[in-house]
Amino acid sequence: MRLFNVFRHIGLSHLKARPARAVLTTLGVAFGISLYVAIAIINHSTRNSMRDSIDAVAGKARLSISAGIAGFPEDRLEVIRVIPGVKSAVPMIEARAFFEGATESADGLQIMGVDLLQEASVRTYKATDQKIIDDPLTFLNQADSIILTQNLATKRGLKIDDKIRLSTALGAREFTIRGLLEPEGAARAYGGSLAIMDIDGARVSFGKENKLDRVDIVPRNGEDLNALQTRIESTLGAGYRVERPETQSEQMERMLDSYQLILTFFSSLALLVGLFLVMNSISVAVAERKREIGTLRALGATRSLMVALFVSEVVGIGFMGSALGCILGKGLAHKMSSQITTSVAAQFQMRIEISHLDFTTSQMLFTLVAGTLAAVIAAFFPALRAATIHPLESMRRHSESSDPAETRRSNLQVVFGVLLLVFMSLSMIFSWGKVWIGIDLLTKASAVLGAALFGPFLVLGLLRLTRGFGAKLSFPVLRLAQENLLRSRKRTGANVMALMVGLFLVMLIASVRSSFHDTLTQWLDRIFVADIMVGSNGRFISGDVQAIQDSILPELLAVPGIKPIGTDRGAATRIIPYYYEGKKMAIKAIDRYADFYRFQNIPVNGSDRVQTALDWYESPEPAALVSRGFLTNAGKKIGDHFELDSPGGKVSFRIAGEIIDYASSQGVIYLDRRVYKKHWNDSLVTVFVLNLETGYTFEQVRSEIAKRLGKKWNLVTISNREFKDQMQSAVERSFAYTRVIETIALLVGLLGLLNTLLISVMERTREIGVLRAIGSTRVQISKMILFEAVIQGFFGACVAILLGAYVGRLFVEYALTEQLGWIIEYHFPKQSVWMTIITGVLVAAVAGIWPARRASGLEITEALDYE
Amino acid sequence: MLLQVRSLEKTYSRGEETIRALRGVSLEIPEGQFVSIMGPSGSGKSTLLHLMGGLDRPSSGQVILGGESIDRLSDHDLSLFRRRKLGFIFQFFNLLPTLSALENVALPRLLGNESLKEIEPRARELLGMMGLESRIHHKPDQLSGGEMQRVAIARALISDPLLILADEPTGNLDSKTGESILTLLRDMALKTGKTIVMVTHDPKAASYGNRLLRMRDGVLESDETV
Ligand SMILES: Nc1ncnc2c1ncn2[C@@H]1O[C@H](COP(=O)(O)OP(=O)(O)O)[C@@H](O)[C@H]1O
Ligand SMILES: [Mg+2]
Repeated sequence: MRLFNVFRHIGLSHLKARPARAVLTTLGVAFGISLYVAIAIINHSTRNSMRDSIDAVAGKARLSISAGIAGFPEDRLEVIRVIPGVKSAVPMIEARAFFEGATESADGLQIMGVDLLQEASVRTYKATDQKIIDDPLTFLNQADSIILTQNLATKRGLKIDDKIRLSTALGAREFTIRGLLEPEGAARAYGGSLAIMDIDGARVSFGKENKLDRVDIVPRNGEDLNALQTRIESTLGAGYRVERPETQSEQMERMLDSYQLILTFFSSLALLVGLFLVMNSISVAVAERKREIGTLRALGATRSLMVALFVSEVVGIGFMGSALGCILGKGLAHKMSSQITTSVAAQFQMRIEISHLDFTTSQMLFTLVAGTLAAVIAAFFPALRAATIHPLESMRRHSESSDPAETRRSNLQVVFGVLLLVFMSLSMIFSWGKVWIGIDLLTKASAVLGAALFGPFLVLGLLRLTRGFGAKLSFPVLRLAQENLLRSRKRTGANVMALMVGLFLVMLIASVRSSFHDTLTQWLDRIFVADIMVGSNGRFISGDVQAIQDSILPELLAVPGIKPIGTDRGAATRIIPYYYEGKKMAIKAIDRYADFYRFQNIPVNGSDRVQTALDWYESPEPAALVSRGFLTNAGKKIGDHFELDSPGGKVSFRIAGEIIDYASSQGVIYLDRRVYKKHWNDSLVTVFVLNLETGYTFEQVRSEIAKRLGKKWNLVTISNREFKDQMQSAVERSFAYTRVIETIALLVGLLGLLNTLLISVMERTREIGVLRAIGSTRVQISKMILFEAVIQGFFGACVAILLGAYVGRLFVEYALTEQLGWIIEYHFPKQSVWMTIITGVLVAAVAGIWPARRASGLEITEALDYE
Repeated sequence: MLLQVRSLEKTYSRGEETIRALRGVSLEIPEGQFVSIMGPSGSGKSTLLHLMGGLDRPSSGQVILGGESIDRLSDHDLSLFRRRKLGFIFQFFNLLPTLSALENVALPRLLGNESLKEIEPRARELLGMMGLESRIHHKPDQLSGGEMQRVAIARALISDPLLILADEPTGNLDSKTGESILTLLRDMALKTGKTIVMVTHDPKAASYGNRLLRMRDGVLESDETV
């Protein structure tokens, strides 16, 4: 009650008296929260959509049987059907198709080839015209029939009876839309990017004659699932995966975990900057109201009441900020979701279409409570100082001047910051985070907190170093600005902190991005030496394309201007995803054309390239080259053996060497395509690589290929250059979402700086009055404040670059390599240095405008009277 | 005539209420006078001083300083005018805490983009006159109140102004230090022939001047030349 009174009469009056500060602080909290909320929504929705998708495809099925991308023999279905306990077993062909001319994986769609006569026992469909499902005979009678989802049709502007061209294993083919599905049952899967075809049609179109990709099992009532699963596994033998839908979800979720953790980490940084802002506001308010607090204490207010007063002022700010953050966050989630989907697709070769972004009421309530609480906690520490203010303070006229306790505190901060950075370094280098996830989080948090606490110290150091500079320039305003910054370590520290953390984040992200980008570019230059790539629509990089029959190779080689690579053995690569112990890896089955380049394109790590490649191709027993990711995930080393499930059963491979390949972070396995073809019974090809005969230009050959084969096969021919460009823009796209994070962090930094600059102007009102009285023009005052802002922005950026590059290096070399399984070399983001500095200066200048106007607009006589 | 003040009025509005701080003040000050203004608190002394120094604009009336009607000047020109033609001394010294004594003294001319090198000899000379040779590089928080006020006087003199305005310059000093400051001020005025207008409510301080104005409720009550 007492608190309520104090708040109502004193706290509220202060909030009203300083509306700008209250608004800025609220906005700071709001922006911080919004990013956090957006990422939370997206992470949550990604998982939900993935789970929904898996459930939707599974329908009533409790188990599903698969054998990898190459499928398994059709006749197994009869074997499965008679296993005791199986009520119904429904077959499916799964394939990825692309709209003609597609270059983005977003233009792909999932094909479900089903037997509509059997479907009803597992999956439900609701079509806009239900006849098509209930009486599928007309549908089946026409071979070009396809059913799309309403969703996809709307997105692409299609309607019933329209014709669409999709790339298939037989080349580009035309299909007629016979029906549209409402978003119910199976049509919820893949965010609606799916098409239903008849199973036989799908087999032909996607090169899966006599095969099946998946059989869904509905067990008899009361059947023990575990027992049934074992029974099926033992009946079918090795090479088959029998899974529950839940297990599938869990596996995919585990894969997403580390990725989502990084997102959460980034977003919590922005939140942290927002909380700094709260801390700052309160610590300034306490300093500013020393006299008032002293008076209240003299009048009998207790210490705890004083702390409570400041904390109570923050409750409203925290709550409003959180509420606004929830609203902004929802909008932000919409903006970011497609970027993150793209990024996930690039990293995991799996496109999770987010069907809807959900933000539940309980999530919102949680955010409101947690956001408010976080703000209160942030306010608590500076508010504690209110308790230490002596009642005699009320009698003092001036409360400025350096306070030894203050100096001690800021020294302590610097030491603490350094300790955090040291801990972070050690933890990253010795990967303590692996021991327990908590340490991992702590390490990341210390990187930021350490930078936030230690950074201002460096900034002040730089300021001191360049102190004489302003004086030499005989630029009094600059000199005044410098001195003002140096005068109050605390104030400058606070100013710099928020902006610096924002810039630090920019530099950290830039470090990661440029390391990825440069590492990949260098790798590509090594691995991809051929002049031309020929494949089907889709994304070449990850092999997310429609595969084609390898029988077209002779036709390709007959095109004038094309020089075959290596021997007559061809020049084809088959890339397939493969689950190894639940981890999604990539198998690359490669023709032995590589010797043509002395195996230049086989980037072997650690041993002699030619020797290793020969050992691999010429090994009497099946051999493989594997990436670091595989070695880590499988816990193997070179020389060990491992088994892969093939439709023909388990095959054991000897690890002949370690290759560097970024197709999958989880692991990449190189096989000789002869070996692959034999065991997987799959002659499809993902991509052909070819060379140009001298005397021909790439364009000539491209148009010739298009003329001879293009139409029929829907081929895409790209040059070495184009491929590399595509690859780089893919990297850019997968980092696109980080721009939003950077922007938010900088925005919060801007608010922080704006807030502290306003405060510093206010604190110096008298001084500004004096300067005006003795003849400063308004322009000079304005310049002085702007200089202060810009100097802080500039030095803040310098320190952010230093710390960001340092932490970025550790992060790339240790944490990322550890987490992603990719060997990524650190590359200093040169291009970002200027960008960071310019951004820092610009943001600071923008933040300085309003305070500068305030300062220059002061009335002299009032300013002189200001206490 | 150095300074002419013609039927000066100043009204402040504070919410509903309007306060007539000056209700028509006219006076003339010739060069070389040391004028003391006395009067009870709230009588309009500071307001008058501020208007004479161009720190604020009158509601009506005119201030003509050195032949120039300063209320016609733009804000920018007024700033330059203060920088070059006026010196201020405040009750709370109002030195910039970040600058050394020397820089504080040099400040008005530094603002005019002269280099410290150019100004330094004069600044040192003035600090010498104030007996602060040994304090040149000290920051305000290392100086005593009397020393700070002497730095402020030196600052007021650095531009060789037409007029020095002082608002309660001894109000924040003990009486002994106050007297030494006033002696310094008077001697300096005598030596250089500077014109000084000083607001005070201390009769003893007022007696250092050679003319005494008394104010009450925004009007000039009496004007005696000693
Ligand atoms: N900025 C202002 N706003 C409103 N009233 C003011 C302001 N400055 C001064 N006054 C009022 O004008 C009157 C004269 O003030 P002032 O000149 O400061 O008196 P003195 O210096 O003689 O004590 C007082 O009543 C004071 O309250
Ligand atoms: Mg006064």
